[in-house]
Formats: sequence, structure tokens, C-alpha cells
Amino acid sequence: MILTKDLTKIYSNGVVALEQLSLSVEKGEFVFLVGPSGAGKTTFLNLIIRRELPTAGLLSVNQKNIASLKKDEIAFLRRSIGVIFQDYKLLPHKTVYENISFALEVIETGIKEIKQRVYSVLELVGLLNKSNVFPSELSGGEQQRVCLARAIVNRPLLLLADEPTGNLDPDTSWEIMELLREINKRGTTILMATHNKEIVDKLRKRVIALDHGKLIRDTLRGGYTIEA
Amino acid sequence: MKPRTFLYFFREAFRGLVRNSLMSLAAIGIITIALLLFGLFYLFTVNLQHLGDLAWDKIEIRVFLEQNVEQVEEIGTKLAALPGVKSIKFIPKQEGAAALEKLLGNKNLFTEEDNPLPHCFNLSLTEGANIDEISRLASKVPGVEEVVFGQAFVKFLKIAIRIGLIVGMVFLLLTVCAVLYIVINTIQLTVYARRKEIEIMKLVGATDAFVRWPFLLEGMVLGLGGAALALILLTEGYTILIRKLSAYHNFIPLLPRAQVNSPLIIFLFTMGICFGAIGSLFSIKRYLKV
Ligand SMILES: Nc1ncnc2c1ncn2[C@@H]1O[C@H](COP(=O)(O)OP(=O)(O)OP(=O)(O)O)[C@@H](O)[C@H]1O
Ligand SMILES: [Mg+2]
Repeated sequence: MILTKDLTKIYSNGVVALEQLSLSVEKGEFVFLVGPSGAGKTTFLNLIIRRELPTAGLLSVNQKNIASLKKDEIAFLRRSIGVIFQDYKLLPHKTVYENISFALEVIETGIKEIKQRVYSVLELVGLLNKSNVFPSELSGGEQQRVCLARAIVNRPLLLLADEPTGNLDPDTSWEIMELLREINKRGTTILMATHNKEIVDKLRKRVIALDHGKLIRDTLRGGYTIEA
Repeated sequence: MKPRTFLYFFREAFRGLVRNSLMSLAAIGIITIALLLFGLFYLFTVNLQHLGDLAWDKIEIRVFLEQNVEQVEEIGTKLAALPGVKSIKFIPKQEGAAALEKLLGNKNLFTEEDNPLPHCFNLSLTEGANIDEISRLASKVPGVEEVVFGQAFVKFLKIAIRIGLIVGMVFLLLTVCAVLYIVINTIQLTVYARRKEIEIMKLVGATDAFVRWPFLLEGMVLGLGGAALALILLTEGYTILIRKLSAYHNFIPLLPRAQVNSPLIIFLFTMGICFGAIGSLFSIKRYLKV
């Protein structure tokens, strides 16, 4: 699903965000991406959806070399990847329903299908009763779930979640994790960047640890730190 | 792209306009002012041009005949046939004498037998006629003694018309650039207000063309609105101006409204719509780089 070889990202201001990263993620995996703030987690996710271009090395997603995609190919690649952004990226003047349907409208999904899919993800994340509410009227956990709903509404092959439990209390965090595991069970590959030690340690999934842009650990059934 | 998608574009453009209605109104207002500026310069230039044409119409060439020529009619036919001559008017020597006597206030200067004045033809010219060439050809017609016209005035008028044309064109071009600049900057604001929306569209996989369309339509509607308002203000204002001027100074002959209407409509709407579209495409460009 994801394959990198010596992947390096140096921002125009000279910051080396990723350095010679080589790894692969298979279809159906659930992977935690951990590391201190500034380690390069978000950068890696941004490279995968081609918000940023690699400086050197290879990155292929879905058998496609990210660096050589044409404009429209980028658009089509993104349709197969769902993203939960660290900063939510919900539109304040659109309702919960509209925020989610928007993601389908702009890729020209049929009206009937939009309706059916949006209601089905709203049901999955438990927000059916809030479909006509604006994001500002939701709690942090609810907003996070709207992001999740939008990310999966197009049934992506790959789901990138950047700190999806970032500002949530432990109970709400677990609710989100349950949803992610459910989605993973249905076949979606998940790559989740997180600082949440408790969740990583408890779930015992594959853990990829970055520090200062370098891969420092890649363990199946790992913990947040080496000792765990 | 599916046909239904275009309905979506129109709906989105409309929504964008309504949602940012205050911004949209401000944009239309600014575009109106910019186009108004252009329209004023246009009206000024065409009227200047018109005054030049009127002055040109007043120019006459006087062709004096030799004393005692017989074939006056034949000469008249030849003069009338010269290229650039619109009409001719024959002034017999008796008439010339009478005019001169009246001018001098002495009624007994000339008698029927003793009249040293020649017969004369007044030639009026078509627009843009070559005066020098006409006078040269006229002087070659047998029986013609002398050809006279206000050389200095013609020279001055020619230069004045040319300068007026150049200055008018330069200013019009400058206002066109100013309008374009203003429209782009105005629309940039409305696009800026929705940069987050554009970013999300791109991140969930919308193509550039898809993102662009609603903004393109929106920009065109803003331009259209500005053009319509500017047109109403200009034509109404122009009508009032003509009415006021004709009440006080009958002699300032502005172009009638009917004659400036269609060029104004064409110019303003073309500029408004095109610049609106250009402004949108230009403004949205950088936000598409996601
Ligand atoms: N657009 C950018 N331009 C320049 N430097 C950037 C940019 N984005 C990130 N960086 C830098 O790259 C490094 C890695 O940042 P990144 O956001 O990938 O870290 P992270 O692991 O996601 O951190 P956090 O856990 O705080 O989200 C940091 O030093 C950051 O300052
Ligand atoms: Mg981050």
C-alpha cells in the first residue's frame, strides 16, 4: 500500500523533516506512527497525499510513484485516501451533513448515493441526531467524529489519522479508537500518528517510531516506547 | 464532467454570492466605480472626436474662377467629381459683390458692368478628405484662377484631432488596465474568504477544473453586476448632461445617447464579464496549489 525508500523531506527553510526513511505498509494493516513533536509524522502523512513533494528518495502509494503524478492523478489518488487532519478542517458555515456530503459532491458522486452514504457514516459515528448542527455547536469529540465520518465516506483504501485523539478525554478517545478498529476490520489500511501512549500500549499494533525525521524503531505488536 | 455538475457549479456560485453577500456587494460596487471611470473616459474621448469631426465639416475650399469664363457649369461638374468633395455651392460674382458691399456698408461699390470679383465655388468635404490633394487638383481644372482654404487652421485641426485621438487612446488603455487591476484585487478578496473551502476540496480529491468553475461563474456575475450598474449610471448621467447642456448652451453638440449606447453596452459588459473571469482564475491560482 505504502512503500518508501530513502524518503527525505527538507523544507524550503532548511528543516530536515524526514531523513532516508525506508519502510512499507501492507494492505489492511493498522500502524501507529509515534515520535516526539516535530519528529516528522505530519510531514510523512502530507507526503502520502502529495500535499508536499519528497526532496529525495522514493514514495509510492498504491503502486504509484507520488513524485511523478500529474495534477488530475493527484486528485484521483486523494479520492482513495481518507484523512483525519490534526486541525479538523471542518467548514464552519456548513452543517455536519454538508461538511460530509461536500467531500462527495466535489468528486461528482450522484445525489442519491451521497445521501445514502452520508447517513450511513453518520450512523456509524453516532451523529445521526446532529446532522443539521454546525461544527461550532459540537464538542471536540463530536467534531473529531465528523472528521472521521468525512474521511471514510468515500470508502478509502487508506485512512490517515493525524492525532485523532489529540484533544479528547480518555473515554472519548477510546470511542474513536473503537471506530478506527471497526473501519480497519472492514479492510481499510490505517496509519495513525499519535502521542497517546496508553492507546498504543494497549492495542499492540505495529508501531513505527520517528525521531528528528529518522526511523528509529519499527515493531509489530509494539508499544509507545521500547520498554513497554 | 457530468451535465448535472454544471448545475452544481451554478448553485455553488449563487451560494457563494449570497453567503458572502456583503463582500459581493462591495465587489460589485468597486467594479462599478472602476467601469464608471472607464465609461467617463470613453464618453469624453468619443465626444472630443465628434467635435473634431464637426470642425472638419465646417472647412470649405474656395475655388475662384478666371474673369469672364464661359463654361461655369462644366467647371462645377468637374469640381464636384473630385474625390473627397461632398458638395459644391456656386457663388456668382454678383452675390460675392453684394456680400462684400454689405460687409463694408457701402452699397455702390460695384456695378453690373464693373465688377472685378470672380465667380466662386465653395467645396465642402467628406470626412477625412485630403485637402491638399483636392486643392491641387481643383487648381488644375481649366478656368480656375485660385484655390483658397484656411491652411493654418486645417493644419492645427489635423494635429489637434491626432493628439486628441492618441491621448484618448492612452487614457482609455490606462483605465482598462486600472479596471483589470481593481477587479482582480477585489475578486481576490472574495476568493481569499473561501481559501479553506478550496483547500478541503483539493484535499478530498476535487480536480482543479471542478474547483475553478463556481469561482469563475461568480467572478463573471460580479463583473456583470458592476457593468450593469455602471451602464445605468453612465447613460442616465449622460442623458441628464445632454439635457442640461442643450438648455443653456445650444452650441455644444454632444453625441446623442443612442449613438453611445451600444458601444458602452459592448465595452462595459465585455470588460466586466471578462475581467471578472480573469480575476477569478488569477485569484484562485495560488490556492489550487494544495
Ligand atoms: N510547511 C513547513 N515548512 C517548513 N517547515 C515545516 C513545515 N511543516 C513542518 N515543518 C517542520 O518540519 C518538522 C517536522 O514537522 P511535523 O509537523 O512533521 O512534525 P510532527 O511529528 O507532526 O509533530 P507534532 O507531533 O507536533 O504534530 C518540524 O521541525 C517542523 O517545524
Ligand atoms: Mg503533526
